[in-house]
Amino acid sequence: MDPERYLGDVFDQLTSAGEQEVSVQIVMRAAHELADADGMCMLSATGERCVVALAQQRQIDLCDLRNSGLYRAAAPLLRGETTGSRTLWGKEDFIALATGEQLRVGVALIVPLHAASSHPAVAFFWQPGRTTDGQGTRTLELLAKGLGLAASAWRKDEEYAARERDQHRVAADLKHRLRNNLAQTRSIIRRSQETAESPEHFALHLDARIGAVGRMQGALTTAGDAGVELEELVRAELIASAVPERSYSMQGPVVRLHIKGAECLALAVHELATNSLKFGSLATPHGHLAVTWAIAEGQLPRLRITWLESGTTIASLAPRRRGFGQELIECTLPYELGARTRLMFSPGGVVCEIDVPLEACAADIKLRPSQAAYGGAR
Amino acid sequence: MGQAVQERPLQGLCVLVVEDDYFIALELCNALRAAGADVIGPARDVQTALAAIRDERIDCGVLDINLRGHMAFEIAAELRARGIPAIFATGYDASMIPDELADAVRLEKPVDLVALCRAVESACL
Repeated sequence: MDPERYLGDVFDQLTSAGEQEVSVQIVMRAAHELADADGMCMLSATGERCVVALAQQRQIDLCDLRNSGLYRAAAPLLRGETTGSRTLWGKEDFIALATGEQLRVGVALIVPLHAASSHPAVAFFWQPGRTTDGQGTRTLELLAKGLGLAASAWRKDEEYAARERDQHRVAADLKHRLRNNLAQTRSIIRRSQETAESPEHFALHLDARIGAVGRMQGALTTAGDAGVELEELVRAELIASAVPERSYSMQGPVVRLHIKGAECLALAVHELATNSLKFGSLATPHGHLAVTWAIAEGQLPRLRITWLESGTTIASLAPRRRGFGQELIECTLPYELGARTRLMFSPGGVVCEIDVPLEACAADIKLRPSQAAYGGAR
Repeated sequence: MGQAVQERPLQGLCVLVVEDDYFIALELCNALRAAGADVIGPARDVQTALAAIRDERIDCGVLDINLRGHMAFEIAAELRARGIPAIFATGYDASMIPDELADAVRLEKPVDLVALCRAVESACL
């Protein structure tokens, strides 16, 4: 047998071997046939665990090497204090296998593996009670390096595949969200069209609604799983409608809304604000808007939001037909969040009560008042 | 939209709609009704949909897959067990659908409403 050609074949096999276990077996077979080695082991860079392969039994095992002389000899190589291979001659050592067996080692060759690999750091080959000639040592070293390269390539493939799976999942989620948002936007456009009084009315309201959806999407993207605070959501809608700070007040505990809750409630607040600016208390200089909320404790705690307009002298008449905003409050909120809602057109302005199961809308609550009652200005 | 439909190809068919977004559900229901179908639902969650399958006559189901984090595959399996065709109207890729439901028609969101009616019609042939 020509050792060089045989070694070439071994490397070819290693590069096509898919699993680390197969790589170990290939190297073991070669180590046995070329250099009479009885076994080998690969030690991880952390030095805690190693893979042991016995040529005769073709067995792969995990063991702890920390208490063995072999590990002590390999430690400087693991720590990068020395480079190159080391041969331990005639020193008897024992490796305790996970099976409970003791592996007696007469001669061991310690070879650092591929530098860039974080996986196997050092390979041991041993030949109980025998010395090995220079040629055999050289062959073992080459085999060890080949194995290191194969293991590192295998490792990289694994990492690459995991990254690719992650990326694929993120892309799929994103695509799903995008398609859903498109469908949602289209349904809002369609419903706005069906409920609009005129093309101008349609264009104006649609523009503002899409603005509200966009604001909420932006806030949610920034906030992530932490959710958006109800107070911030109300404030953002009022600011977007250029409502002066003196004309409204807010009071309630800190409530963080999750995506679905925030989307629904933001649109509801937007519709209420739009209506108020046109017909309600925000349309008059002496009008006032109070938005308050509280948690009603119980087996299923509920979030109760009250939108209370006052001070307007404009007769607040219920519209003749149900517009988009009214449908949103009276139909969408009950359907999507299981809310109970009441929308009343009273002489002082609009009063709207939204009573939602907390778990349908909130990501997190803190049962303490968020400062005393204050207006838009802090 | 509805007025333009001359024929009512879905006349006499009972179609279950499962969708958790109100306006999207409304859009699907209106399109199906305009084509002559009787709409069962819309159901916004798995339990409501399963109750409807138990109690109502249904010829076809139109299902969103993600119902506020719960997957609608149980509903599709229940329909299938009764020999009722299910159509997915979803933002998900085909790869998300389990193998045993892979042959169900999948319409991508935003759903083309004409294609939806056609899909229901051919599923009920």
